[in-house]
Amino acid sequence: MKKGVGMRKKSLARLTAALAAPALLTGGVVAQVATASPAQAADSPLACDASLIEKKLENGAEWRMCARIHPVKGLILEQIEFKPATGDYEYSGFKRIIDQLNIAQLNVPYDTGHVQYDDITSYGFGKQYLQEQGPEVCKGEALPVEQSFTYSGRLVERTIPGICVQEDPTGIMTHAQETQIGGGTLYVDHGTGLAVSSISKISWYEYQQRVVFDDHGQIEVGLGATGDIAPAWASTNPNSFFHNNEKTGWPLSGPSQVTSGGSTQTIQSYAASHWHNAIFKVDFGIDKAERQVVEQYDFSSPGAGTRAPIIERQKTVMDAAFSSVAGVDHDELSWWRVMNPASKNFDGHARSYEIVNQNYANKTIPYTTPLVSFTNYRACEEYASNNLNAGCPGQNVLDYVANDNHQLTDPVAWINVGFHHTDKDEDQSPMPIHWQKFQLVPRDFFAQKPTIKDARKCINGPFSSVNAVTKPCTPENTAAPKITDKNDPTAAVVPAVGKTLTVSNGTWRSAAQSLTYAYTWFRNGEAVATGQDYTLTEADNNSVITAKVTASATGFPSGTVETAAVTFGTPPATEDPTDEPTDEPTDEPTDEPVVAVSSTTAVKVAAKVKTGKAFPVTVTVKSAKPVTGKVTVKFNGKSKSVTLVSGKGTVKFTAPKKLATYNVVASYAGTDTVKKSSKTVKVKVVR
Amino acid sequence: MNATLSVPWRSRKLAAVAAVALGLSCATTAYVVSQDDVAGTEPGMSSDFEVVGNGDLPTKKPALGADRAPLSAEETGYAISIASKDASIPAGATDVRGESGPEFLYADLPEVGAETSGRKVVVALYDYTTDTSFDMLVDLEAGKVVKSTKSVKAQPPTSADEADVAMQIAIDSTKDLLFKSEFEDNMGVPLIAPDQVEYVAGSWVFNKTTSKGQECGEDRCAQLMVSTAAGTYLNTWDFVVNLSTKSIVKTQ
Ligand SMILES: [Cu+2]
Repeated sequence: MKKGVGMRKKSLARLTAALAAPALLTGGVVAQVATASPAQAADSPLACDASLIEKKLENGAEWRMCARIHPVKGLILEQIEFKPATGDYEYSGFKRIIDQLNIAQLNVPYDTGHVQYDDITSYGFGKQYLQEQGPEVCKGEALPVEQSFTYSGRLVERTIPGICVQEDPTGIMTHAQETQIGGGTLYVDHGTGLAVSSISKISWYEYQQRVVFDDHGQIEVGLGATGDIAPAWASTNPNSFFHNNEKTGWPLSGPSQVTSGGSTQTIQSYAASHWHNAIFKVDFGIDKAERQVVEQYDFSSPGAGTRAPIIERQKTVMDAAFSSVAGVDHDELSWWRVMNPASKNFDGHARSYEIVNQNYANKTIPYTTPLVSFTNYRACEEYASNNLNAGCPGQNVLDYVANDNHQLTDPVAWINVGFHHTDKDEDQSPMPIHWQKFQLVPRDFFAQKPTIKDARKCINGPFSSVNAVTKPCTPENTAAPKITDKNDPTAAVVPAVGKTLTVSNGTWRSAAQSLTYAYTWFRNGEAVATGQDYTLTEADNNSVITAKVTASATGFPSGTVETAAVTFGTPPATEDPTDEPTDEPTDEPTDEPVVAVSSTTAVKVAAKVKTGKAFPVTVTVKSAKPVTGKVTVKFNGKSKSVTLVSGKGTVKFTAPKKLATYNVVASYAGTDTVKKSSKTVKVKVVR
Repeated sequence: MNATLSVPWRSRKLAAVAAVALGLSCATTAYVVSQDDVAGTEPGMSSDFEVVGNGDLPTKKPALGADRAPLSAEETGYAISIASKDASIPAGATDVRGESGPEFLYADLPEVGAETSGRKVVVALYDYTTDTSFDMLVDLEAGKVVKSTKSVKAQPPTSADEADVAMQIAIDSTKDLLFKSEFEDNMGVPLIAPDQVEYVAGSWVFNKTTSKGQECGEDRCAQLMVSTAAGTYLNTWDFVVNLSTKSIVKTQ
């Protein structure tokens, strides 16, 4: 598990510095100058020297990124890229997911209303607030972090182990039993994840930032709070962390004596409840996209079905920057994804990552009210509130949304991960860590599970579309077949002329295919007979007998495996009686699949249309094969379809009252032979 | 013995001792690492910052790392020295102690999304004379500032020097501050010097949730978090320190 962090390149100067402080390299970290392996040479390397983290997980999946400690943002991860365990089966080398990931604000208002803290923009998670990852803290490998600033006019610095990198088990990733009742083959995988973490202390609270990159491509971003709850003496003042207002706190311990103005009284105090409003900034870069699309998915029921409620999915392409408030703009089933329409997996689906954020937003503060906001990347917009960048100072995420009037193509997600903390007795010193987390989950980033086994590769979509050609399922032998005495299967085989032997099938992972078996018998490695049974003859004397069992399903490659040998007499010494079993596919399917060809959709519409007037939209779909079927055109919430004639169709809309620029989206659904395509153009409604 | 400087979020007593040690050995070289202070060798131990060389900012270009490599102390020092002397910084600029030259707040790489190339550093500075913050984009290779952006609204986290000044102002103030009476009530002695307590200071801007302190945001203000040597926190929510005017602002 604790392999060294794969590749850490250091400039000579920095390497020398590290060597001067060997004790820094705690927890098994060994800084090395490594050379790129041939596989890595295919990717352009990440030029970040000491902050490069590159790690191969147990299952063979690899992550790489640059990780450093920013003086204000703390742990900042850049250029996050993933290579699945299945490697080139999905794509070659690493693929980019995120350009930058960091916390962008941590606002802690107390329910007493007497104070709130902005732990990021007022204090920051770097500088002196960063805590050491000594061996008692970091059970993996601690990366040295160099920090410097001026103090009393002098340049000061320290280098401490500040980022912890370790591979942690994530539990059972898959458990699939092939048969209904058991006794079939079992697919079980235990997963691991690469955890990158740091700890920062802001007064009584100590926060762990922990991002886990798992071996299936999922990213979990967590903020854990430990340290201590706000400590104070008991007070009759409601403006206190241990105050006398039951409604804004929780009693910890019994009553205490309070002295003020010379008189002493006994009161029950209450530890102040509070929010931890954490907002993360995620700058997406799906496959280094030139243009990314943000979609929102909502689910609603049009009514009862025949035996269960019908639930329908509705997709909304988010054309512009937005903030989404629960109960207003989305509900608890809604989710968002960021997609690169130009990057397709082998099924032709655009690669995307979905945001899973099952947290609460604090609706008592405007900028923490949306659960998620999206804006186009703008360099000056660094923090979710009290922005520190002099280019757009003091602004918050609501300002960013309001100021963004471009089409949303370079999305940055501002993910609000709220946690309301009502203290309890058990939270007392030191407080057990409490977590707030969200996940970024691959959605069609891979055509199949990114750890898929050969025996399951043909399973892609419904069984009717089992892919026997490019993704064959080869039957995999899990228990070898065995030769026994036909008349006494439980006895040891005692070979004799005239005795009938039989061979079992062994056990095979059939990958949802119905297997048939063929048997071949070998004498000293030479095939002599077929069939499940074989009767020994004079010719078999002084030889080794083996059998090979071939498991096949129609249309799929076969698997073949050989039994252990039965020795009859004294075999010739020159022969090698035990051929290596082979599980190489033995027949190559030759059927060509039907391949759909691509199409392009073009839209003709006036750039400006007059309000209240009807206007035509003409759509032309072109492809190498004949274009048939319908095209759907959407405008201002309305949707119209027309059947294409020679690839062409026209619909009419009426320009609405509101003077604005609208999208016109034409979508061609495709056919078995022609792939779908779509096109979005703008039309401006004028007076 | 290497010079060791404890910065003020630790006990001020330690810092005072360190300052003496500093005076005794100013000829230390860069990258001095006192093994005793190395992280993890002793759980719970402080990890001190040390003076780089004689503490002067490098004026000669140091060895530069890759574009996205973390900054070395030498690169940071070089970037601060270039940024502070840039023509876009007013000639009369002063730091929190009123000394000539802007206050240094922090330095790091520009965001990766900003798509800069080469070895660039953003240096955040604050000029107390004009109450202006500056983001200076420094090109380390060229040894010059390539972009200077200023603002009268940005208030990045305080420097260690600013925290020291804020604490001293709070202690010297004749205003009735809750934490001082709380300290005296519970410790039995008055609070008269920063070395009696531990503290950090956050930058503070008016956000309409307090009745006073509107000037904070354009003025540079700090909110103290103060605890006793025993680790007990004192209530400091009733005021902030206006570092621009060197005065106490009662926020209630
Ligand atoms: Cu809490």
